[in-house]
Amino acid sequence: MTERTQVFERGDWSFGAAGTIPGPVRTMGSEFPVEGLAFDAGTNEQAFLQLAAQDYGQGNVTVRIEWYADTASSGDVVFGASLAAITPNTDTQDIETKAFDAENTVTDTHLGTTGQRLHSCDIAVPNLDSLANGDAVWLRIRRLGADGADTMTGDAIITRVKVLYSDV
Amino acid sequence: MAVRFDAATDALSRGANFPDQSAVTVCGWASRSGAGGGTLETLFALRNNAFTQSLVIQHLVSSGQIRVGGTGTANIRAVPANGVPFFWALVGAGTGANQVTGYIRTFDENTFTSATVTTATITEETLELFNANLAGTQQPWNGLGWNVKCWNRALTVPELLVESFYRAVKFSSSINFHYELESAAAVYDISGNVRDPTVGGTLTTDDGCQFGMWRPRRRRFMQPAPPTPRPSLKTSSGLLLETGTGQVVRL
Repeated sequence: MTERTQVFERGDWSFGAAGTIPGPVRTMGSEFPVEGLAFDAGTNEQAFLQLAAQDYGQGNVTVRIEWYADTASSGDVVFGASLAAITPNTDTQDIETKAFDAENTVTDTHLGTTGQRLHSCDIAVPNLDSLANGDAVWLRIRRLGADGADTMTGDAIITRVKVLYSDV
Repeated sequence: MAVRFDAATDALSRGANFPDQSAVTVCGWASRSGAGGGTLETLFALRNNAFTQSLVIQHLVSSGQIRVGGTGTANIRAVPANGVPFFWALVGAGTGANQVTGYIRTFDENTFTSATVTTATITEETLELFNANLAGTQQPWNGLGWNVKCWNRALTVPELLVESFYRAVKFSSSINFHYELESAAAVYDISGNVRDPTVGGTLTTDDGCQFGMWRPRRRRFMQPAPPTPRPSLKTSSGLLLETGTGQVVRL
């Protein structure tokens, strides 16, 4: 078995309707620029990634989110991941009206000590929308800032997303 | 890479397919290299030939301010220092009070500074970028320009912020033109609408920085490791080979 990993960074995002758009940010660090998408507290903001399920075998997909807090040094942040998968030449679904499978979420707690430390959390995604090898896949990433369980103040800035799955 | 506009007649312009003044967004990246030589240094103008009515975003040299103009003008902020890359935008959402907004953010900022003005109905006859020229009076922007986008609609602030970071158009609805301006030899519309500009002067290519040019990373897929070759034993009586079930057979 080989674990497949697809990595997504700043330039890979797509965006949907106005009002739910996380803002791109670029901060001049003391040694290098730090770039990502800033997801607000208090509202549900979302952005999208597109991938090919190259050599997908079976089992859950893991969505690994690397993020840091803009201003907070405590609290919980809730992220959600949703998949929509289409098998070309097989699925008759209209691609422009395709819906996401049910969202899977994770609640990650700020580890404290340093406000802008980098965190990583995994979202296990069993809601796979009948994912098959080679499918065209859309992945929606949300911060559920309006959720009562999301208690962290200020932006959560996502710097990188990894999508992991098994090829057997 | 970027296009270098000089302090003379370098400019881009169009005479047709204008965005409507009540539904327009024009934005791009620029940096200033020095004085343009005129009293004004124009980044963008949508105007009539009398210049009595216009939508503009420009630097008023005497005040040191970048201002947005409609009926009257409003200062957005002081012009960034020479060599500092910044994003500029003009959004027109209608005619009347405060319907035109100008936006600026420098490369190290994540929010806009903005100002609004009132506009009356104008007769659109000329669209100009990085200069405005009326009867020989030039308003050249002396510096770099790149990744200019235009829509036939007023973008929201969140949409505009996204567009300020990305090379590609992210909100393609109602796109009018997109001039990437990666080199002086490639000044054309990549929006699909074939609305290439008329080039004034002699543009040159410059090693501009890449702010506002986020793009997808090249995808790399992890390949499975090649199968480990099973050792074979060559004996004096032939080749011994282990089968998939663990049996050793002589070939």
